[in-house]
Amino acid sequence: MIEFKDVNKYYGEFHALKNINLSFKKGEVAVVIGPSGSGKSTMLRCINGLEDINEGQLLVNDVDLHAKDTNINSIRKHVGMVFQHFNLYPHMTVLENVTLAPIKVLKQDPKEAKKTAEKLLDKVNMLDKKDSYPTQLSGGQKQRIAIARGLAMNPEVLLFDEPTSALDPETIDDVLDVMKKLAKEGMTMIVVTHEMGFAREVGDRVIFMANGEVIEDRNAREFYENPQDPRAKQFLGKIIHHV
Amino acid sequence: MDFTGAYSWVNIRFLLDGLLVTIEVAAISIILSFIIGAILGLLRYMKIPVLSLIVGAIIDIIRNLPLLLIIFFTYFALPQVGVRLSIFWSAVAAMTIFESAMLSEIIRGGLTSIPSGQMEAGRSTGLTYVQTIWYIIIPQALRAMVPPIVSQFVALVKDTSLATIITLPELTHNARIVYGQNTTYVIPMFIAMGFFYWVVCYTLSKLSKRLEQSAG
Repeated sequence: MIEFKDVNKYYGEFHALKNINLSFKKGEVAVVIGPSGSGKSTMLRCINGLEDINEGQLLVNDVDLHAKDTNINSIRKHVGMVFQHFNLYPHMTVLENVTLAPIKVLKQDPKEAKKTAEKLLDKVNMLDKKDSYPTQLSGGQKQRIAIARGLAMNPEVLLFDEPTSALDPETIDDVLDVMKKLAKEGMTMIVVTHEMGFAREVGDRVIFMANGEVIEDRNAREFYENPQDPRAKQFLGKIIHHV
Repeated sequence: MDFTGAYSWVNIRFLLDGLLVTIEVAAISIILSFIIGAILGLLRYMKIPVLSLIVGAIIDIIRNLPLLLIIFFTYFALPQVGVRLSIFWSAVAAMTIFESAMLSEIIRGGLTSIPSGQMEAGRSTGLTYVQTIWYIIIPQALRAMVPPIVSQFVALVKDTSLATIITLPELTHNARIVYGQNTTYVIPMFIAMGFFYWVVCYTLSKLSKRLEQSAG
């Protein structure tokens, strides 16, 4: 459902994405890893148009994302995103955070949207906080609400940009549990993360990126047990030492 | 010093007439400059090609001119190009031009202070650029903007006294007429002016405190 064909991206002189060829299928859970500056977040952000590509083709549901007549908002309805720093709306309650886009973009009836939002908040175990404001919540709680907000648009794919990197260690598992639950339900997910446990348990494949290139793209278990590229070996060595 | 003479009912009424003009000029200018300032601030924030640059250049020019010069401009220069305004509307026009530029920068600053992640979050859920600004950016920016906007309004009230120079019959102007007639009225008149300006500005800033609390 998502296809990168010879995609290149530059920030001025800097070549951020180099000839990316990737495709993601429906129902797949792909984990993207790599050292910082490797282009993994940039690649992810291209999928919902937060970043533009310079060369090549990027298809989402067979629609060319960068064709002139493509309405990016209609693509974004199908592509949810969860950010490293949650980016919840601080002036709205938890419930309002989740219902804003369904009401304004999908034109859902507010009562209907509220019902759906409550179901989703229950799914991420945050229903009791529905009337709280984001500042009253911990990082892990905020991230679970951000996931519910993404799900409220009923997207076909959910993108995660280092969803646990800004969290206190004790709240990471709550978020990962929710993500695992979604993966097992068949949600299509592309996850930029260093959480190896998550990758091994629910990841269908691991994409290792470095210097803007895709270096390895393989089955998760195989990748962790037997990385091929020396850069991948070195990188894995580093994160394993930290765990 | 002759307080009883200075504070005769006739004089006080004359001062109150002036105060009323001060408040009228200030109130109309506040409303107009807030609307224009909000539009200009948004245009500059939205980085629309060419337009935002032009708006930015005009704002920067106006902000760096003395208000007095703009008052002279609307009163003496505009009639030269066929725009004839009364003293009252010259003063309102000058205040509005100047304060719109000042407010637009406060508003742009408030909008810019919202982290870019908020825009990304809104856009990523399919909201349009304008929807995101309206539902997500502006409500948050307003809270940061209220205190500087109100101090700008307070400054505006005080700056109306500059329009004395084009004989606008506002508070300072009228007080000058009273003490011009009798030197023993000078000190009492300054005390009265100080008191009236204080009352108006203090009320305004108190009002903003209330506003801040309800917005926060």
